[in-house]
Amino acid sequence: MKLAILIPAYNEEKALGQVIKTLPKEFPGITQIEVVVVNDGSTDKTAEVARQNNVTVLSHVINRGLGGALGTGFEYIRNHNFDVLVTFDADGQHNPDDIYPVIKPLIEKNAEVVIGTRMKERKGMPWYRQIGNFGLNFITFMFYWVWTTDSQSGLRAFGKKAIDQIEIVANRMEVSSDFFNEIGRLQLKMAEVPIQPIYTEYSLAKGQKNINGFSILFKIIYRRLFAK
Amino acid sequence: MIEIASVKIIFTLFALFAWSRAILRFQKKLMNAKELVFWSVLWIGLTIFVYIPGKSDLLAKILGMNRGLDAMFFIGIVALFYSNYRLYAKITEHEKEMTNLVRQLALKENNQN
Repeated sequence: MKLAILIPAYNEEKALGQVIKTLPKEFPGITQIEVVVVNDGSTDKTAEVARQNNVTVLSHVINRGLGGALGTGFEYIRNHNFDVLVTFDADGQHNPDDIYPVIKPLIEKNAEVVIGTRMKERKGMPWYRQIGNFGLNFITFMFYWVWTTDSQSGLRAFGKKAIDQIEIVANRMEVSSDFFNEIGRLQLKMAEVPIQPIYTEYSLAKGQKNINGFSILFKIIYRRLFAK
Repeated sequence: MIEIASVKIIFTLFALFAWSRAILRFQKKLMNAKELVFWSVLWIGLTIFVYIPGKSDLLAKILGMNRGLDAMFFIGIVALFYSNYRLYAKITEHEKEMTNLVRQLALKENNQN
Protein backbone atom coordinates (compact mmCIF):
# COMPACT_ATOMS: atom_id res chain seq x y z
CA MET A 1 0.00 0.00 0.00
CA LYS A 2 1.19 3.50 -0.90
CA LEU A 3 0.81 6.20 1.76
CA ALA A 4 1.01 9.95 1.21
CA ILE A 5 1.44 12.33 4.14
CA LEU A 6 0.03 15.66 3.04
CA ILE A 7 1.24 18.76 4.87
CA PRO A 8 -0.29 22.10 3.88
CA ALA A 9 2.09 24.85 4.96
CA TYR A 10 1.85 28.63 5.01
CA ASN A 11 4.79 30.50 6.53
CA GLU A 12 5.91 27.55 8.64
CA GLU A 13 9.71 27.76 8.25
CA LYS A 14 10.15 27.57 12.03
CA ALA A 15 8.21 24.37 12.68
CA LEU A 16 8.11 22.51 9.35
CA GLY A 17 11.66 21.08 9.35
CA GLN A 18 11.20 19.48 12.74
CA VAL A 19 7.74 18.18 11.78
CA ILE A 20 9.12 16.41 8.69
CA LYS A 21 12.13 14.99 10.57
CA THR A 22 9.96 13.41 13.25
CA LEU A 23 7.60 11.64 10.83
CA PRO A 24 7.87 7.84 11.10
CA LYS A 25 9.73 6.21 8.20
CA GLU A 26 7.70 3.00 8.15
CA PHE A 27 4.31 1.60 9.10
CA PRO A 28 3.03 -1.97 9.17
CA GLY A 29 1.14 -2.72 5.94
CA ILE A 30 2.63 0.28 4.08
CA THR A 31 5.21 -0.37 1.37
CA GLN A 32 5.89 3.17 0.22
CA ILE A 33 5.64 6.56 1.93
CA GLU A 34 5.77 9.95 0.24
CA VAL A 35 5.62 13.22 2.13
CA VAL A 36 3.91 15.96 0.10
CA VAL A 37 4.25 19.55 1.31
CA VAL A 38 1.98 22.12 -0.31
CA ASN A 39 3.68 25.46 0.18
CA ASP A 40 0.73 27.83 0.03
CA GLY A 41 2.37 31.01 -1.23
CA SER A 42 4.57 31.42 1.84
CA THR A 43 6.63 34.57 2.06
CA ASP A 44 9.27 32.93 4.25
CA LYS A 45 11.57 29.96 3.59
CA THR A 46 8.92 27.24 3.95
CA ALA A 47 9.59 25.80 0.46
CA GLU A 48 13.37 25.77 1.01
CA VAL A 49 13.02 24.04 4.38
CA ALA A 50 10.81 21.39 2.79
CA ARG A 51 13.22 20.81 -0.12
CA GLN A 52 16.17 20.43 2.24
CA ASN A 53 14.28 17.55 3.82
CA ASN A 54 13.86 15.72 0.50
CA VAL A 55 10.10 15.72 0.28
CA THR A 56 7.78 16.49 -2.64
CA VAL A 57 7.04 20.22 -2.70
CA LEU A 58 4.11 21.75 -4.55
CA SER A 59 4.32 25.53 -4.46
CA HIS A 60 1.42 27.90 -4.91
CA VAL A 61 2.52 31.20 -6.43
CA ILE A 62 0.06 33.05 -4.18
CA ASN A 63 -1.68 32.14 -0.93
CA ARG A 64 -4.99 30.35 -1.50
CA GLY A 65 -5.83 29.16 2.01
CA LEU A 66 -6.07 25.77 3.67
CA GLY A 67 -8.77 24.45 1.32
CA GLY A 68 -6.82 25.48 -1.76
CA ALA A 69 -3.66 23.81 -0.45
CA LEU A 70 -5.41 20.58 0.50
CA GLY A 71 -7.11 20.51 -2.90
CA THR A 72 -3.75 20.72 -4.67
CA GLY A 73 -2.38 17.91 -2.50
CA PHE A 74 -5.43 15.76 -3.19
CA GLU A 75 -5.06 16.22 -6.94
CA TYR A 76 -1.38 15.29 -6.88
CA ILE A 77 -2.06 12.25 -4.70
CA ARG A 78 -4.98 11.18 -6.90
CA ASN A 79 -2.79 11.45 -10.01
CA HIS A 80 -0.07 9.34 -8.41
CA ASN A 81 -2.31 6.46 -7.35
CA PHE A 82 -1.90 6.44 -3.60
CA ASP A 83 -3.99 4.06 -1.48
CA VAL A 84 -3.96 6.04 1.75
CA LEU A 85 -3.68 9.78 2.38
CA VAL A 86 -3.18 11.39 5.75
CA THR A 87 -3.32 15.15 6.32
CA PHE A 88 -0.93 16.48 8.93
CA ASP A 89 -0.44 20.02 10.29
CA ALA A 90 2.81 21.84 9.65
CA ASP A 91 2.79 23.77 12.94
CA GLY A 92 3.87 20.87 15.15
CA GLN A 93 0.44 20.45 16.72
CA HIS A 94 0.16 16.78 15.76
CA ASN A 95 1.96 13.92 17.35
CA PRO A 96 3.65 11.72 14.69
CA ASP A 97 2.80 8.67 16.83
CA ASP A 98 -0.88 9.37 16.10
CA ILE A 99 -0.49 8.73 12.37
CA TYR A 100 -0.55 4.96 12.59
CA PRO A 101 -3.73 4.73 14.73
CA VAL A 102 -5.42 7.07 12.23
CA ILE A 103 -4.46 5.07 9.11
CA LYS A 104 -4.94 1.65 10.72
CA PRO A 105 -8.72 1.42 10.11
CA LEU A 106 -8.03 2.17 6.42
CA ILE A 107 -5.30 -0.47 6.09
CA GLU A 108 -7.60 -2.99 7.72
CA LYS A 109 -10.46 -1.82 5.48
CA ASN A 110 -12.72 -0.97 8.41
CA ALA A 111 -13.32 2.60 7.24
CA GLU A 112 -12.95 4.90 4.22
CA VAL A 113 -12.30 8.11 6.15
CA VAL A 114 -10.79 8.45 9.62
CA ILE A 115 -10.91 11.60 11.74
CA GLY A 116 -8.30 12.03 14.43
CA THR A 117 -10.33 13.61 17.19
CA ARG A 118 -8.88 15.85 19.88
CA MET A 119 -12.11 15.84 21.82
CA LYS A 120 -11.90 12.42 23.42
CA GLU A 121 -8.84 13.41 25.41
CA ARG A 122 -9.28 17.14 25.82
CA LYS A 123 -6.33 17.71 28.09
CA GLY A 124 -4.50 20.90 27.17
CA MET A 125 -7.13 22.30 24.82
CA PRO A 126 -8.21 25.75 26.04
CA TRP A 127 -11.86 25.86 27.15
CA TYR A 128 -12.77 28.60 24.67
CA ARG A 129 -11.50 26.39 21.84
CA GLN A 130 -13.60 23.52 23.12
CA ILE A 131 -16.71 25.70 22.98
CA GLY A 132 -15.86 26.99 19.51
CA ASN A 133 -15.18 23.47 18.32
CA PHE A 134 -18.45 22.16 19.69
CA GLY A 135 -20.31 24.99 17.97
CA LEU A 136 -18.77 24.11 14.63
CA ASN A 137 -19.46 20.38 15.13
CA PHE A 138 -23.09 21.26 15.74
CA ILE A 139 -23.23 23.45 12.64
CA THR A 140 -21.58 20.71 10.60
CA PHE A 141 -24.23 18.29 11.80
CA MET A 142 -27.08 20.70 11.06
CA PHE A 143 -25.96 21.27 7.51
CA TYR A 144 -24.43 17.96 6.48
CA TRP A 145 -26.08 15.42 8.80
CA VAL A 146 -22.76 13.90 9.77
CA TRP A 147 -21.90 13.88 13.48
CA THR A 148 -18.27 14.22 14.46
CA THR A 149 -16.63 15.11 17.74
CA ASP A 150 -13.98 17.19 15.98
CA SER A 151 -15.01 18.83 12.73
CA GLN A 152 -11.94 21.07 12.69
CA SER A 153 -9.29 18.39 13.19
CA GLY A 154 -6.34 18.62 10.83
CA LEU A 155 -5.28 15.00 11.28
CA ARG A 156 -7.48 12.93 8.99
CA ALA A 157 -6.91 9.92 6.79
CA PHE A 158 -8.58 8.94 3.53
CA GLY A 159 -8.73 5.64 1.68
CA LYS A 160 -8.64 5.15 -2.09
CA LYS A 161 -12.36 5.69 -2.69
CA ALA A 162 -12.30 8.92 -0.69
CA ILE A 163 -9.12 10.15 -2.43
CA ASP A 164 -10.66 9.52 -5.84
CA GLN A 165 -14.11 10.93 -5.18
CA ILE A 166 -13.83 13.78 -2.67
CA GLU A 167 -14.15 17.14 -4.39
CA ILE A 168 -12.68 20.06 -2.47
CA VAL A 169 -14.42 23.30 -3.37
CA ALA A 170 -13.68 25.44 -0.31
CA ASN A 171 -10.67 27.71 -0.41
CA ARG A 172 -10.06 28.56 3.18
CA MET A 173 -10.64 27.22 6.70
CA GLU A 174 -14.22 26.15 5.90
CA VAL A 175 -12.68 23.17 4.10
CA SER A 176 -12.64 21.27 7.39
CA SER A 177 -16.43 21.29 7.61
CA ASP A 178 -16.60 20.76 3.87
CA PHE A 179 -15.03 17.33 4.16
CA PHE A 180 -18.14 16.24 6.06
CA ASN A 181 -20.31 17.45 3.24
CA GLU A 182 -18.40 15.07 0.97
CA ILE A 183 -18.48 12.24 3.52
CA GLY A 184 -22.27 12.60 3.65
CA ARG A 185 -22.73 13.02 -0.10
CA LEU A 186 -20.54 10.04 -1.03
CA GLN A 187 -21.74 8.00 1.96
CA LEU A 188 -18.21 7.20 2.99
CA LYS A 189 -17.72 4.99 6.02
CA MET A 190 -16.21 7.20 8.72
CA ALA A 191 -14.37 6.31 11.90
CA GLU A 192 -12.96 8.46 14.70
CA VAL A 193 -9.73 7.79 16.53
CA PRO A 194 -8.60 9.75 19.59
CA ILE A 195 -5.37 11.71 19.11
CA GLN A 196 -3.24 13.65 21.55
CA PRO A 197 -2.35 17.06 20.12
CA ILE A 198 0.70 18.96 21.28
CA TYR A 199 -0.36 22.43 22.40
CA THR A 200 2.49 24.87 22.42
CA GLU A 201 2.31 28.64 22.36
CA TYR A 202 3.35 28.47 18.71
CA SER A 203 0.74 25.94 17.60
CA LEU A 204 -2.02 27.72 19.55
CA ALA A 205 -1.21 31.01 17.92
CA LYS A 206 -1.28 29.33 14.50
CA GLY A 207 -4.51 27.45 15.10
CA GLN A 208 -8.11 28.25 14.42
CA LYS A 209 -9.57 31.30 16.17
CA ASN A 210 -13.16 31.31 17.40
CA ILE A 211 -13.86 34.41 15.35
CA ASN A 212 -13.16 32.35 12.21
CA GLY A 213 -16.17 30.27 13.22
CA PHE A 214 -18.50 33.03 12.09
CA SER A 215 -16.88 33.28 8.71
CA ILE A 216 -17.01 29.48 8.38
CA LEU A 217 -20.70 29.52 9.33
CA PHE A 218 -21.46 32.21 6.78
CA LYS A 219 -19.71 30.31 4.01
CA ILE A 220 -21.44 27.03 4.89
CA ILE A 221 -24.84 28.75 4.75
CA TYR A 222 -24.01 30.41 1.47
CA ARG A 223 -22.77 27.16 -0.08
CA ARG A 224 -25.74 25.21 1.23
CA LEU A 225 -28.37 27.66 0.03
CA PHE A 226 -27.06 29.30 -3.07
CA ALA A 227 -24.11 27.47 -4.56
CA LYS A 228 -23.61 23.94 -5.84
CA MET B 1 -41.20 79.41 -12.02
CA ILE B 2 -41.49 75.67 -11.55
CA GLU B 3 -39.65 74.47 -8.47
CA ILE B 4 -37.44 71.44 -8.97
CA ALA B 5 -36.27 69.49 -5.94
CA SER B 6 -32.49 69.53 -5.70
CA VAL B 7 -32.38 65.75 -5.47
CA LYS B 8 -33.82 65.63 -8.99
CA ILE B 9 -31.15 68.00 -10.27
CA ILE B 10 -28.43 65.96 -8.61
CA PHE B 11 -29.81 62.78 -10.14
CA THR B 12 -30.04 64.38 -13.57
CA LEU B 13 -26.41 65.52 -13.35
CA PHE B 14 -25.33 62.08 -12.22
CA ALA B 15 -27.26 60.41 -15.04
CA LEU B 16 -25.68 62.76 -17.57
CA PHE B 17 -22.25 62.00 -16.14
CA ALA B 18 -22.86 58.23 -16.28
CA TRP B 19 -24.21 58.49 -19.80
CA SER B 20 -21.19 60.51 -20.92
CA ARG B 21 -18.94 57.74 -19.51
CA ALA B 22 -20.83 55.22 -21.61
CA ILE B 23 -20.38 57.34 -24.73
CA LEU B 24 -16.67 57.75 -24.01
CA ARG B 25 -16.26 53.99 -23.58
CA PHE B 26 -18.09 53.49 -26.87
CA GLN B 27 -15.76 55.95 -28.61
CA LYS B 28 -12.75 54.13 -27.24
CA LYS B 29 -14.27 50.90 -28.57
CA LEU B 30 -14.48 49.42 -25.07
CA MET B 31 -18.23 49.04 -25.54
CA ASN B 32 -20.29 47.92 -28.53
CA ALA B 33 -23.32 49.69 -30.01
CA LYS B 34 -25.77 47.34 -28.29
CA GLU B 35 -24.34 48.14 -24.87
CA LEU B 36 -24.38 51.86 -25.64
CA VAL B 37 -28.07 51.66 -26.57
CA PHE B 38 -28.78 49.76 -23.32
CA TRP B 39 -27.07 52.31 -21.09
CA SER B 40 -28.52 55.27 -23.04
CA VAL B 41 -32.06 53.94 -22.70
CA LEU B 42 -31.46 53.21 -19.00
CA TRP B 43 -30.08 56.62 -18.04
CA ILE B 44 -32.44 58.66 -20.21
CA GLY B 45 -35.37 56.55 -19.05
CA LEU B 46 -34.49 56.98 -15.38
CA THR B 47 -34.07 60.73 -15.81
CA ILE B 48 -37.51 61.03 -17.42
CA PHE B 49 -38.94 58.79 -14.70
CA VAL B 50 -37.63 61.07 -11.98
CA TYR B 51 -39.67 63.98 -13.39
CA ILE B 52 -43.00 62.12 -13.61
CA PRO B 53 -45.13 63.52 -10.79
CA GLY B 54 -46.78 61.08 -8.39
CA LYS B 55 -44.85 58.03 -9.66
CA SER B 56 -43.62 56.98 -6.23
CA ASP B 57 -47.17 57.06 -4.87
CA LEU B 58 -48.22 54.74 -7.65
CA LEU B 59 -45.37 52.41 -6.69
CA ALA B 60 -46.43 52.56 -3.05
CA LYS B 61 -49.97 51.63 -4.05
CA ILE B 62 -48.74 48.62 -6.01
CA LEU B 63 -46.60 47.48 -3.05
CA GLY B 64 -49.36 48.17 -0.53
CA MET B 65 -47.44 50.90 1.29
CA ASN B 66 -48.60 54.27 2.54
CA ARG B 67 -45.85 56.58 1.37
CA GLY B 68 -44.04 56.77 -1.92
CA LEU B 69 -40.77 57.29 -0.11
CA ASP B 70 -41.18 53.99 1.78
CA ALA B 71 -41.68 52.18 -1.50
CA MET B 72 -38.53 53.76 -2.94
CA PHE B 73 -36.49 52.72 0.10
CA PHE B 74 -37.90 49.22 -0.03
CA ILE B 75 -37.02 48.78 -3.69
CA GLY B 76 -33.60 50.32 -3.08
CA ILE B 77 -32.74 47.94 -0.23
CA VAL B 78 -33.93 44.87 -2.13
CA ALA B 79 -31.91 45.92 -5.15
CA LEU B 80 -28.81 46.47 -2.99
CA PHE B 81 -29.19 43.07 -1.33
CA TYR B 82 -29.53 41.41 -4.66
CA SER B 83 -26.52 43.16 -6.17
CA ASN B 84 -24.54 42.28 -3.03
CA TYR B 85 -25.43 38.63 -3.48
CA ARG B 86 -24.50 38.73 -7.16
CA LEU B 87 -21.14 40.27 -6.28
CA TYR B 88 -20.48 37.65 -3.62
CA ALA B 89 -21.36 34.86 -6.03
CA LYS B 90 -19.08 36.33 -8.69
CA ILE B 91 -16.19 36.75 -6.26
CA THR B 92 -16.59 33.18 -5.02
CA GLU B 93 -16.51 31.95 -8.60
CA HIS B 94 -13.37 33.97 -9.36
CA GLU B 95 -11.71 32.70 -6.18
CA LYS B 96 -12.40 29.16 -7.33
CA GLU B 97 -10.97 29.82 -10.76
CA MET B 98 -7.91 31.48 -9.26
CA THR B 99 -7.29 28.54 -6.94
CA ASN B 100 -7.58 26.18 -9.86
CA LEU B 101 -5.09 28.23 -11.85
CA VAL B 102 -2.61 28.37 -8.96
CA ARG B 103 -3.08 24.60 -8.46
CA GLN B 104 -2.40 23.72 -12.09
CA LEU B 105 0.73 25.92 -12.06
CA ALA B 106 2.00 24.14 -8.92
CA LEU B 107 1.36 20.67 -10.38
CA LYS B 108 2.92 21.61 -13.72
CA GLU B 109 6.03 22.99 -12.04
CA ASN B 110 6.37 19.75 -10.08
CA ASN B 111 6.08 17.69 -13.29
CA GLN B 112 8.91 19.63 -14.88
CA ASN B 113 11.26 19.13 -11.95
